[in-house]
Amino acid sequence: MSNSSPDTLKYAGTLAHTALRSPSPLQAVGSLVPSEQVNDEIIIVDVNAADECTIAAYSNQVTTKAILDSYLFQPTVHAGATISPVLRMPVAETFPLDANCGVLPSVRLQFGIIEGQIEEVLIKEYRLQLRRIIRELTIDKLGNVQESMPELRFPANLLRLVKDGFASSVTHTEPGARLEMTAEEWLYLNDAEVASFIETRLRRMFAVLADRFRQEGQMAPAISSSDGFYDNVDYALRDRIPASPKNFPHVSEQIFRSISDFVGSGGHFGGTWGRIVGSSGGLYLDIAKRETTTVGQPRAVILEKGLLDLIK
Amino acid sequence: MIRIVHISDLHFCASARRVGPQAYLRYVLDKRSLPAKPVAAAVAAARATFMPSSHDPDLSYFAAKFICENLGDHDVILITGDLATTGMPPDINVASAYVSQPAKSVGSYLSPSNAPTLLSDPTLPIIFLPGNHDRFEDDAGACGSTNFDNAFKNVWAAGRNGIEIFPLTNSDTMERLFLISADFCLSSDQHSSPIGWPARCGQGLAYNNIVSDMVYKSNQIRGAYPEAGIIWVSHFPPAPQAAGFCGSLELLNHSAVIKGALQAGIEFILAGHIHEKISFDVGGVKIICAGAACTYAEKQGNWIHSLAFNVKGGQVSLTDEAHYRWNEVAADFILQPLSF
Repeated sequence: MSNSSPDTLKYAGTLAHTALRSPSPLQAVGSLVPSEQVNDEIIIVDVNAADECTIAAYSNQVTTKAILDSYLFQPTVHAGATISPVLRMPVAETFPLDANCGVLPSVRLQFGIIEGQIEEVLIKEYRLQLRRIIRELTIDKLGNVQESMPELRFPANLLRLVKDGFASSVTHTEPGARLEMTAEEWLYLNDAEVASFIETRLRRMFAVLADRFRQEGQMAPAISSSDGFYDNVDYALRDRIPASPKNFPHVSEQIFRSISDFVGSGGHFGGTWGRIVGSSGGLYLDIAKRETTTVGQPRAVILEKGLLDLIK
Repeated sequence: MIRIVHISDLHFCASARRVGPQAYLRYVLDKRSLPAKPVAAAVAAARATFMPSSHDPDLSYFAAKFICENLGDHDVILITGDLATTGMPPDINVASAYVSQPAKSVGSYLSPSNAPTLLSDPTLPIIFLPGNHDRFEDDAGACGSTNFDNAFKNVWAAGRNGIEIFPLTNSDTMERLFLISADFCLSSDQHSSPIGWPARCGQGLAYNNIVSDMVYKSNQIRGAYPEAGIIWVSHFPPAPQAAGFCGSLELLNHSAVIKGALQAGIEFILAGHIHEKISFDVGGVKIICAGAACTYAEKQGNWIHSLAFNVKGGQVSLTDEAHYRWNEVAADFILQPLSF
């Protein structure tokens, strides 16, 4: 909260307060869309139904909880009377770390309106979504957001090599090896699905690599030169991205280029572990410090098999 | 209070990141369309002889890490079955390393060989029971393997279709909670319903003698320790709603379990199997199902659950629960709001 952009909070507050103060809060919220970008932080408000709206906040600094706590659920004055909307969900327990992990959290709110006043606000849904999904759903209203968000794209040639790799991993394994079979082979994925497959495996892979580096005390390890990944990354890639052995160097090189372009244009590739950062010398991992709070705490409960002596 | 980390359906396998027919079917149903080349896909599926799903090593790594770092103060880890993809030794061995190999130091989730492990603290009880996959003789799902029993004698000494009781005592509050776990896996392929070959892979059977024994043991515990609470544990949720597509995941004779639970005054049954984080109330018995912890390509997500029970006067109450789902973008398990 203390690190958040005042402009973003002000904007979020304007939206929320306008909605709460208006006799027709949802119309008021609707009139404020499409959206506005403030620095690198974006607040999107949209109306879903007659008594529902969605607030989505993308920020590396501000959590949804901070926005809701600070603005939406504070008492407001309407027609001389103080309105204190009742929040029907314990926010403190349900909005964990949605900042700093490159997601777009969205909250679907249902307003209980009695005689034009908001009596309660029910959180119907809370999601952490891929930003591009939001964009696809609301692209007609949020063109400026689309332009502001770089997208991780993989070249067609890479997708083809990975598709070939699915087949290769099934039909050309070492003789006598236990048969591998993946959903990807079964489903004959289209290009978008193959891209999603690659992205998923990469996200998990870099998260594991980051944790391995953290274990060794390396908080900003270089993972590539300016030309391509170092061997330690290639070994990890080879284990996760299907490619025939002869195609693997091309696959690695194209993944490297895709990620470099993405982070170079301001894209966030990371998670709670930190993120990938580009520099003139190549890519490195910016690994977040983690606080462990539960390790080594005393445990009172024991498995007491001796109690069974009385049970036949 | 006794706090339990509840996970299920790890599906460890020597051949990682494999996808079985259930996941495939869910994927197709989600897409509401057939694969681009349905005939070719069917041929590929047939060639694969419907091999069951396996684990994703990256997810199992993060499950161990998350439990160690965030739920390390819990009292016990309960795994409601399907530790391995099959009961074949190579798969059981992978599972065994994950649940039995001590960490290189207390508070770590890595073994001396830097592989992830749940055993972050030698005093942390890790208890489990076999699921249908642990009893597979082969990749085609033939029933009856006993390799699980041989590998995990120290936890599961009851053998095939046995009952194991795990008595937990909170030495501060002197609360006692007995987890009575039963193996309802099919002891023979012939015991599945006659809907065809796939039924033997996913079904279980509530054998009447096992249920009777659970009731008997529960009554004995109540006689010996009147203040203690009892929870039943079954890999298969004994609920008609959990039968799966065409009954392919059904616990046959499930009503006998509910009847027995009511007879024994059981309020909770902990389960897994259907890879879905869901609860059922069947006749007043609450059945809590864990989602799959680290199964690859699981469309219903990957889950870790935290449950806290209070025990008083022989009654068990669920006082707190938290559910964490793997989030692809955060690359972490993220707390989910309770109401969703």
